[in-house]
Amino acid sequence: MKSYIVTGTRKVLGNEPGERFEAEIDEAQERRLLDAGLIELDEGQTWSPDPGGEHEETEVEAPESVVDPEVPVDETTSAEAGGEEQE
Amino acid sequence: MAVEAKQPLIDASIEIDGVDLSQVANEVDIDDSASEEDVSGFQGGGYTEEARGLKTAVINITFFQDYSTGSVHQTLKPLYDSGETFVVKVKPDDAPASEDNPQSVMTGRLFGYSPIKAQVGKAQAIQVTIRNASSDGLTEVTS
Repeated sequence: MKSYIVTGTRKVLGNEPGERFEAEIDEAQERRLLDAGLIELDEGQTWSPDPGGEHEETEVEAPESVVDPEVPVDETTSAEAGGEEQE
Repeated sequence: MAVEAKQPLIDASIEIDGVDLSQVANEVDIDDSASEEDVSGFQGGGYTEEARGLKTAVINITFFQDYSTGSVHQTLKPLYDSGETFVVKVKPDDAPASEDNPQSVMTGRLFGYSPIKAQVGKAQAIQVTIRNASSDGLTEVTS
């Protein structure tokens, strides 16, 4: 399964112009669509339907709540990040 | 929206090799037929007896010629030149395939192509005939 972007002005394989889609296109058809400028390979895949699958992974910014083990923990910040304060 | 009964064909969907060419086509017909084989023998009561032979499927589409990127010429010419097979999908309506909007699917091949055809001042309409090129034949998808 590869990821593509519709780059022409026509729908391709049911996808609107500008739309990103994933599909298994046979080699000959892929070449024809690429040659015609109707699709481009989407190199930066950002979403995977199967987290355990063999999809490319994209770096995702760590959420603010994640504490870097290298940095000393500031108790005030830690309590805020944890949400509810214990009384 | 799916096609209602007795609707004229207005929003038909025509996809050639993955490319939606509906807006540059104005006529389509799909013909699926079997050859008639005469298997009449003697003492058959005076009538011929016909059996069905091999089936074939043909899709005829009339396009307004368009040489722009990814349109009629740039889609059909490479298919004709290479002789490669490709998938054709036709639906009565642009809505998803369903029981009342059946999609005809065929793997076909082009045996001829007219890159230019018109009289002076007239719209350039070319007729394309796509013949079945797979043992799957013409299939119907409803989901």
